[in-house]
Amino acid sequence: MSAGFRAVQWNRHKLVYDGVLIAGVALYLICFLLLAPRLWPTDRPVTWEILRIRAVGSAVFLMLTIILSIGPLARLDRRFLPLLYNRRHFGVLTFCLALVHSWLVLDWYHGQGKLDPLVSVLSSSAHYGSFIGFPFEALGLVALAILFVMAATSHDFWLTMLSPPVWKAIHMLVYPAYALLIMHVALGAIQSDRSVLLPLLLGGAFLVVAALHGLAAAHTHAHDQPSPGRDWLEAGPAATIPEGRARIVTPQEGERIAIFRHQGKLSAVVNVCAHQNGPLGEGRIIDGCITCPWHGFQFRPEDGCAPPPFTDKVATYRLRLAGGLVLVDPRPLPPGTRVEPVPVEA
Amino acid sequence: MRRAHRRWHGRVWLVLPVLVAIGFIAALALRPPASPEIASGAR
Repeated sequence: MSAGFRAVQWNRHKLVYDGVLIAGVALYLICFLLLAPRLWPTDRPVTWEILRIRAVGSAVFLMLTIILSIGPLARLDRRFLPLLYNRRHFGVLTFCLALVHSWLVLDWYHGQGKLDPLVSVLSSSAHYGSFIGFPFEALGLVALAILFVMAATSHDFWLTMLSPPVWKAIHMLVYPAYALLIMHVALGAIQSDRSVLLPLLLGGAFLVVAALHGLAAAHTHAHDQPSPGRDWLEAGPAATIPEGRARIVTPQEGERIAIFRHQGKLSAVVNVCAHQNGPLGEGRIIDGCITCPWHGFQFRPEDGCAPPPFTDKVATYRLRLAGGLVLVDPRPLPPGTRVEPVPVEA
Repeated sequence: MRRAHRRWHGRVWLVLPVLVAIGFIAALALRPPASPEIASGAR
């Protein structure tokens, strides 16, 4: 959080996550190198060097597809939230593999001539004005540059330095990077490979990512219908809010509100985490604090303050009960304002 | 995520998958006939 940029610290969960990640990548590369020559039979066998390039390149594409699927999956089903928790390491590993892929390509295709390999890759095909024949390597290079910027700024130091909106805007570039990678393969490998497998895998991955984002958007929209009224919003029966969890309500104006139940009492905070705008209401209460499902930032339910030594704060809201129904004042109080929790059993 | 961000994303980012889909289908439809040399990955 705020103290010394140490919000994302190593713990057992992260170590397991990274261990599974690295083992998964190693397993994929081994399987690809063993199986690909049988899946893509050609008249002339593919050389070992080209096989390596394809193995690492396809791993990068697969990893980016998974990374982009984690967000909408976590919105659709809470069971995917643990995958979201350490997604940055996934992204950094993806960039490292993309770098290996680029190095292998430069070394194999452009490392033997008089020209500098980087100059060679950008100038060997001058068909920048045509669609088919467009130097697809340039698309891959731009995607690599985007992944580099994202990996380099992935630490919370940069999040604080750049401010969350700027940081988030930079990291949304992952979508253009994915689009560039699809066209990198479509104008590269697919032009030289006549099998139907590659277009099917590429198109299928794109459709899965697009469909998941569409479903998640529809899911959010369905739960985002504003409650009527400007003064006190009705937020449903108090008794049905599970202990340690929240109900999210959407006012006509302003941010969504998360109403948490903790030790039989209700408190309301803004549904936007002070760290990266994560959905606080989709988290739960751990050790007496609301815990953001994205990166584990914590806030006390009664005043929206992070526990010491951290200084982050979120806005709170006034609550009252009427006939077993929760009513919330949609006007946010200044971040850190204490509001006495309302007992469910009044 | 803030509500204003969600609305902005929904509208602007819809253009990207449409462009990608068009580009992907065009690249598939316009690919040249295969030659043994190209198929081997030798370029």
